[in-house]
Amino acid sequence: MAVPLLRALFRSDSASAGASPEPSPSPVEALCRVFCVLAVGALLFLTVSAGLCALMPGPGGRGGLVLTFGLIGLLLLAGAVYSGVRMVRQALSDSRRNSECLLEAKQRALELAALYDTSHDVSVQHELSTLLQTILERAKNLLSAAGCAIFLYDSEQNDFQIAAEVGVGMPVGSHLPMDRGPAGHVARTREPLILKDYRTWPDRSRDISKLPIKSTVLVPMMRGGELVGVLGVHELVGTSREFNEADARLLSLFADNAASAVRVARLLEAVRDSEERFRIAARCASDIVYDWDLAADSVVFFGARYDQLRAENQPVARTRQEFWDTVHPDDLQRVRRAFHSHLEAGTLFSEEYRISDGKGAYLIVSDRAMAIRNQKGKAVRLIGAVTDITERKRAEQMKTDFVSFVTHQLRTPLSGVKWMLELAMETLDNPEEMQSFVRDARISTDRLIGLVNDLLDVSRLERGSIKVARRPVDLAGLTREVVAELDPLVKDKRQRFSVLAPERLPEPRVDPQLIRQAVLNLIANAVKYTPEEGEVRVRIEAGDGGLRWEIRDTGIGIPPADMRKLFEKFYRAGNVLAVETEGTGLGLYLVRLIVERFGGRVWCESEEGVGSTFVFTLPLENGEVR
Amino acid sequence: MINARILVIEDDKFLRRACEVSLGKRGFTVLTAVDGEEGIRQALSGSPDLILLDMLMPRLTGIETLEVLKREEKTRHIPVVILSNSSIEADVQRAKALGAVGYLVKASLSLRELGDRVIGFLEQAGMDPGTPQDPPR
Repeated sequence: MAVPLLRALFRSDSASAGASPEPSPSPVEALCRVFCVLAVGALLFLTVSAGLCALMPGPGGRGGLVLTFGLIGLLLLAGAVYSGVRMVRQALSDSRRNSECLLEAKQRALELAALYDTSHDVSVQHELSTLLQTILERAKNLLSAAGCAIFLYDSEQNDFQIAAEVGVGMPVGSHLPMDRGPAGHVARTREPLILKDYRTWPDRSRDISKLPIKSTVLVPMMRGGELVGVLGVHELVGTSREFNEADARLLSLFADNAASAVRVARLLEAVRDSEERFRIAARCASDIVYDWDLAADSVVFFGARYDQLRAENQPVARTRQEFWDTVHPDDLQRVRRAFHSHLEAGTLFSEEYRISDGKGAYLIVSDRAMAIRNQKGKAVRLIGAVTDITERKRAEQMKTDFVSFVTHQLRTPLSGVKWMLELAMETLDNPEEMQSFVRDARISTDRLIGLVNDLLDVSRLERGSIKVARRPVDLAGLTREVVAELDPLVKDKRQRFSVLAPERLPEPRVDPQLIRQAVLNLIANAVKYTPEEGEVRVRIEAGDGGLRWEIRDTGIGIPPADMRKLFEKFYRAGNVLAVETEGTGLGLYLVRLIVERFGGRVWCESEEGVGSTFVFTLPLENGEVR
Repeated sequence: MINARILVIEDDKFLRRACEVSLGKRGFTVLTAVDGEEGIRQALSGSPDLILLDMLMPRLTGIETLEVLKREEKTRHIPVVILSNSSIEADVQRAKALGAVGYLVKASLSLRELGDRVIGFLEQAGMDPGTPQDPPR
């Protein structure tokens, strides 16, 4: 009993605690126990001493015994008083330390709460630039500092980029070398760094060496052992605050959370970028791209054309059957066969077919697709690109039609020349007959030359390479000349022909040869497509800043369906083939090219079977005329 | 003597004249028509042994004319040779499907060759074209 008692007496606090196998009492408790033992002992001895003294009054042989008991009692009392004082002092000191601990615990709890909030805020941000701003604000607030900066590690260039900054105006976006500056040091050592004064760092990076940074704490942003960047928090010149280890620890904890968030945001950004690139590429290459989940039988479309369909509220297929329903019945079997053959045998799927446009017509599309297969080789998804090739097909058809039409139109007069000359050769002994064959050969030749000239004019006007000699032209005079030229034809058909024009007309500055060609084509058409004894009237007048030239006939007219295409190249109205087949489909197209060349406009109004009116305008000054 | 009758249905007057003169000189009796409608009338009334039919014509095209000729009881048996400057493959196939015995492109034939081919088609149809005159040298 005496050993722990003495130990408790002479050793302060809990130095014995480590050696004791049992949970050791606190110093106050130990002192309290000692105090109690000593006080009880003192009381006991003093009572005994007092008792002896009372029982044996007067000096006697027991006086020594009383004295001894009394002394021991007094000693014990003194010990009790001493330990009591120590106990009270210890208790007071404990209480002070407890309140300090409590205070620190409270502070840490606050910091942890801030760290938690901060890390949580950061982890829910998936957009990199927003995330960086959030990290800045949170890190700055976490240490209640003036500024903060994030230096992201660029593994490709092996340097830092100042990714975001708040407080001191660092050049965001600029790169810093790895081998300099405090940030470089942190990146190399991967340990936090606390500086009392940034300006005393020997090799500061040039870009930021002049900034008013005083004390700073920098920590690495690590994720899975990999350096993501360095996070720095700083105070400005003119303040006295210094950062401490606790600040560095707290910031490190936060920096690692931030590093994870940056990694995730970067990955997501990369995924978004790649998806965006795919979408753009798909959009550029095709009208519609589809992604078909074969197991779920659901399809997702995207692309410019799809957006357009959606904007028009057109129904879009959602399942395989809905898709098959849009395919033209004549193409369906072929497309289905190719589709299944691709899925089952892996043959290339590249088909052209017709699909309903939802408005009663069919589009021609080119569809190329490729299946994504699982590990067993079974097709699970089908990614395809659909391009609307309706226009291309139409153009190809037009080209084919053009080639065969021109071929026919050129071959006919050529055959005429060839055969007439063959006949002429056989009739050398009959000069009269021979001459008639040669004459026919010449007429065929003229026709051929006319056709070739028209083709050349069209080509030159289209390319803009024709030489244009502008000068004031008397349109009425020019028209009368053309009419005179065609007079035999008009007389032949017993048609009434009139030209109505005021005495003095302003003269547009145009190329007389080209305008003559336009006038000739329009008059010749009117005469050609107006039956015998019909009427053709030309009227020319000034107005609206230009001249208006009009020809009205009582001819076969133009079917409404053909009106729109009338001035197109090689277009011939359906009903003219009933009259003749020599036409080239170039006449009205040339008229349009010529009139538009001089800033004018040409159009026509017609009723089939009643007649047609063709009008063109020419501006009097340079410019457009209505 | 030659006694075969050839009907030429051709809208171009120079080509029509050339065929008429040339085949006439070879000893054939030549009937002519300026378009499909007239051609059908001539085929019905003139009982030709062979018809030379142009493709691109006003009113009735060569194909439409051929359809009528092959539908009509009286003209169905008459061999029809297409004589055209159009060489669209679809037209060639269509004409053959409708029963045309030949498809000739004008620009690639001389009149003499035309006459030779006409004789060939007549013989092929089991007809004796007689002894046609040699074409003049």
